[in-house]
This record gives sequence, structure tokens and C-alpha cells, in this order.
Amino acid sequence: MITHEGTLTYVGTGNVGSHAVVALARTGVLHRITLVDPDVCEGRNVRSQAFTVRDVGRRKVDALAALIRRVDPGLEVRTFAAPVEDVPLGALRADVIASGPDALEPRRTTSRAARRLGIPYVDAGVNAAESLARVTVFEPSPDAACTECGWSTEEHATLDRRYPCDGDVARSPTGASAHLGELAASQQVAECIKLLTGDTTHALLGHELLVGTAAHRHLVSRRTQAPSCPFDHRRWRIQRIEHRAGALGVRRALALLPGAVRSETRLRAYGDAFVCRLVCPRCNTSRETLRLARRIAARQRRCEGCGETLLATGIDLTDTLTLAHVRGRHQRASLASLGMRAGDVFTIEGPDTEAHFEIGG
Amino acid sequence: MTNRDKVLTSFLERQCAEGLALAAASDLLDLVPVGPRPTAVYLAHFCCTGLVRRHGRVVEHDAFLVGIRFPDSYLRHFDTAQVLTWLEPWDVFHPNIRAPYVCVGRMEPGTGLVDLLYQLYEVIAYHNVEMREPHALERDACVWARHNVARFPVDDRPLRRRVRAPAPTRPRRGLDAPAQEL
Repeated sequence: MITHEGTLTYVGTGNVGSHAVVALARTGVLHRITLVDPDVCEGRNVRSQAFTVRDVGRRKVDALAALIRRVDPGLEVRTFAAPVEDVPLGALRADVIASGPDALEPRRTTSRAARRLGIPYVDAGVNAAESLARVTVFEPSPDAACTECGWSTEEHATLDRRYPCDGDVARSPTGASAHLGELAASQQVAECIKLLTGDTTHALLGHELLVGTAAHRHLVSRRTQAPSCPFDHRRWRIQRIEHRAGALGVRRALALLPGAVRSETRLRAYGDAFVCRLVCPRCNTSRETLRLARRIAARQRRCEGCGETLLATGIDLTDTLTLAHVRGRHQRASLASLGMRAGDVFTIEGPDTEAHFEIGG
Repeated sequence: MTNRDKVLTSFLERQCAEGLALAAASDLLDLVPVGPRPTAVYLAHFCCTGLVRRHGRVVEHDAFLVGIRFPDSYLRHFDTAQVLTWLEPWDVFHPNIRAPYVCVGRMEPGTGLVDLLYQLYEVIAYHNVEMREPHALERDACVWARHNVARFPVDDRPLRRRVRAPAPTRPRRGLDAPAQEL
């Protein structure tokens, strides 16, 4: 459901996103924009993205926020200099979510977040080799296609199979020129405006626009849901609770599911697992903990014995917490002590039902 | 478990039955389910011959412990580091193992427990050895393995077998010739 409050979240502020964000700020239809990107501006970005040499070394979201404020001082800008996977789901909520990332993982995370929140999602990208600009608009209905519906088996495999012997897979730059990014950005902004103003008569909802600059071609195609898509496409009904994360204990949270006995419920954090123990790969010492894997700070990961970075190994992870996890020294564990914060969404699962909650504060 | 998890529950129950059946038919494997049913975590004790590096020498060892966990997303994703945890011994010597990580090859989401146990056994006993440094977790062991291919596997007994009589014990031997010491 579109509420038309003039809010938008943009994920990935690179070749497409940096141009789109500035153009969006100039439209005058926005009251608040949320920017998400973990990267720092590099010298090579200046030629293809909306940054200048003065921005080199700055976080992209900070450089863009400064630029946007010069364009529209009244526009509220929120920034997350982090991967979208680390941003609380509730913090992504807006009238429209848009993205222009350079990798599959943030695209999948953003697509799923938009669907869970029931928000239209406008994704854009470029193919430098074929001089193509693309914009796709996804509806938030459960029978509509999502980003992953159009992925090949190889693309799914890239994300769904990870082997430690592969090492870190580095992202390669798209190699796209500024004008190609700007083309995709302008088409994306046009679609965002339609959604933000409610003028959806000619919106691309459920469709994809492909523009080829080499041979002056454009193509509009319908996106349909793939039966083999691994995502369930469900929108979540998320209840906002007014408790701050520090004021809500895990034991109390487990009792939030109506009609379920607390001893039979489980707490699941959106997009993350809990770490019960950290291990030092050098000296094999271990330390008990109870925290979300993505919310363990670098200082908390340092081995007191040898200074090595502690690891959360597979067997010391758990997808859900039960009463059995909050005994002993974790008896009084709160959602904050688990690393949760305002905007995070968690699910309480019972034998037959589940409910989703967003932390307030 | 919610209704959505019925497929995973069924999968986990089947893995438990098949894994325990394999352990019952093997004198080289002991499998311990951990936690409530349906069991998602196992401790796999392998009593086969493998290698460790102690005091600079590569020697045989006959007890290895690996943790196996099936995350809730296991039927859709396979992240080796989340599924397999090398627990003991910490000084294991193998190109595919650097505790707490172990790499058993290109596994698919939903790979069964029995398959994982076989793959682990084949790694530990040097049936399955990564000889190329870029793909190895322990590169020292990779170099060593290339010079000692003729000695592999270090244990050629089948995993699925049950021997009533105790196996004859043999003295542990160091495998390093002086020229090959690391």
C-alpha cells in the first residue's frame, strides 16, 4: 500500500544510484530519503559516478547526503554506511524502495525486504558491454515476480553455495560509463515519481524496461513469478512494539505470540543467526556469547590470549532462540544485548503460527 | 515448528535415521545427535586414520571430531562454514582443513547427512585431497601432499562396515622423511 508520504530508500549509490539520488532530490516530491551503501568513494568512481575529486576517501552516502542538502535543504536525509544486509529491516521502510547495486547479494536482500514490508521496488542496472540500461518495477503482491524470479540457475548458485576454499570473491566494477548510469537513473527516477505521486497509469509495475543505446532500441517486457523461485514472496504483517531493545527481555519476547506457550516458542531475527560461542582459530580458546552474528563488533571478536580475530563456527550458530538459550548468565538477556536495535524485525514462532515484530525506540 | 517448516522437519528426521543407520553399520564412525528433535546438530567422531602435524612432524592420528549443523535455510543454501565445523584435533594436517573450517568439495543445498559423512571420511583419510594451493585451506599441507601422493589414502577401509573383532593395533608412525619435513 502506498502512503504517499514522500519517503524513499535507495540501496547502492554507485554508477546508477549516485545519479538517481541527486535527480530524486531535484524532483521536489520527497520529504525523506534513506541512503544505503557501504563503500568509500575512490578516484576511479569520479568518471562514472556523481562524485568529484573532493569526495575521494569519503563514504559515498556522506558525500551524496552533503550534495543533496545543497540541492534541497528541506529534504531529510538518513544514511547507512553499511551493507544493506546489516541495516534493520524497519529502517528501510518508505513509500518506495529503489536500488542500483553492483552485486547480486544486495539486490536480493533489497528485493526481499521490499516484499516483506509490502513496498514497491524499483531496481535499475546497466550492462556496459552491450550498452544497456534497465529498470524493473516490482509490485509487492504475493503473486507478483521478484528480482530472483528472473535469475538463472548460475546466478542462484553464486549466492546459495559457499565454500571456504573459494576465499573471498571480490566484486568487479561494472565498467559502465557515466552516461549509461545516468540513463538508467533517469528512467528509474521517472518510475519512482509515478509511484510517489500515485500517478501509476503508465507505471512499469510488474514490467521491465530495457534501453539499448548502441542500436537505439527499447524493450518493455512483463515479469512473471517463477514457480522455481526460492523466495516465498509473502508480505509480512509486522507489529511495531514500543519497547526499546534494551527494555525487552528475550524471555518476555518469547511470550509475545498470542495463544502460544512460551516454552514452545522460538525467536528468529530477520536476516541473521545467533552466535553462542566464538573460537580463536590460532590458539583454539573459546568464549561464550549470545549475539547476532552481524552485530558482533571487531573489539568483541578479538582473542584476549593471542589477539587473533575470533570466529563464529557453524556448530556454534543457531537460527532461533528458545528458553533453553536464556538460562544461566543469559537469564536476563535483552534484545539489545543480542545486538538488536530500533527498526530490527524479529519473528516469534509457535507450533502452528508466527508473528513478526519491529522494535521501536 | 510452523507449518512452513514441514519439509525441513521431514528432511531432518530422515537424515537422523539414515545417519544413525550408517553409524550403526560402521566401526569407524560414531554419530551423536545434539539438541531436541528434529535434530539439526550432530557430532561425528571418526576413528579412522588421518594425519596431524606435531612438533614439526606429520604423524598418524586415529580420532577426529567434526560438528555438523543443518541451518534452517539448508534446503536452499549451502554455506560450508555454517554446516561443517572442524572440532578436533586442532593440529590436523590436511589441505582441505584449517580448523575450524573444512572443505569437502562442491556440495549442493540439501545434501544428505550420509553424503556429508562419507565426504568427511574421504577427506580425513586422504581419499579426497586438494592439491592446488589456490583452492586449499592449508597450503603447507598442499605442498606436502603433492610430494607424498603415493602414500594416499592413509586409511583404505570402507566407512560402512562393522568388525566384531578388534582391529589389530599398529604403532603410529611418522610419515616424514627428513627431506620432506616442513
